[in-house]
Amino acid sequence: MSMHEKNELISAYLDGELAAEEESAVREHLASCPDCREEHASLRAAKSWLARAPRRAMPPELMAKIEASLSRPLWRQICDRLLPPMPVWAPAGALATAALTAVVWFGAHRTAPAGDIPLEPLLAAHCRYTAEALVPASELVASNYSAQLNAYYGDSSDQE
Amino acid sequence: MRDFSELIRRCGEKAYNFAFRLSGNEQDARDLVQGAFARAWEHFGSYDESKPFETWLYKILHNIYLDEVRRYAHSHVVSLDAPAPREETSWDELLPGTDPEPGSGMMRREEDEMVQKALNALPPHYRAAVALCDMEGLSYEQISEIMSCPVGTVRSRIHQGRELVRRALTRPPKTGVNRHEHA
Repeated sequence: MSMHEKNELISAYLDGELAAEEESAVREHLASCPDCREEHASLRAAKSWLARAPRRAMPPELMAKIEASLSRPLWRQICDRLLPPMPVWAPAGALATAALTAVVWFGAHRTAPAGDIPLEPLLAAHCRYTAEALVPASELVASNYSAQLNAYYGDSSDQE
Repeated sequence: MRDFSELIRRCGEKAYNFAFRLSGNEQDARDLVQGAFARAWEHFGSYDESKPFETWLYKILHNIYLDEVRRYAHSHVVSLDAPAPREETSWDELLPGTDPEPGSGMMRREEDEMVQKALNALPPHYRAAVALCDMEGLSYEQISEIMSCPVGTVRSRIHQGRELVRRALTRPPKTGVNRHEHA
């Protein structure tokens, strides 16, 4: 085992990171080797010097800033990250969004009003159809549709 | 969101200390911590709750730090794992000539500065490993998870880093003579 490997084992021994067998082997070796004992002592001093270092406290306003930034919706945080703050494109973007929304909305609601449906030709076709008796009267009655139409418009073909 | 806020409060201090020890200054530490929490929040859905949040957060923070180091390395010569200090700080400048009065605020500040100088002189991989082990008290297993490397590599990096710090500690104390007087 090289000196470096041996010292690495001593370092891991200090950290309590060796398997039981390795640990007892290192312990036994340290008991009989003054050089390794010295190495062990100086590494332990370095470890405790680092461990004793004062902990840096987080600035109080940083915690609040982080919490505030996380309370924004995720999509906005992503946009904030992806898009640089550019006052020029912001109003243009808002206008484009509004225009697009309007186009989509009008497209979706573009249906003919109920009053515009041409009922007269429809009814005329219906009357002609019944008069020519292409369908037996019994079937027309069974549908009940003609009776309802006639009752609604007061233009019964029976009266005629 | 409420759970995440609690995690921030619980781990914020530790994350900041680790970030400071990595970066060596307050502004970079702030940026690192903010970036780490933002990324953790963004990917919170993929966080495995069976593992400690702290380890996950440290891993994110360490990755952001390495990204920054690599970005810096594009224009400078930086080795992440070199066996020697990368900065031109001589080790005898890391220790004071005499021991200040124990317990005094000045001693604490000086000691803190010395520790940070010693850490700054370590290559980034050693610095992270030593800080996580000796300052944050994490196990080799946790450190290997954070640094995405085998436990054997962690053991080696901790030893190398500690060895460099040890050399600084075992230097003979300075005589207190002003260096500029020799010039």
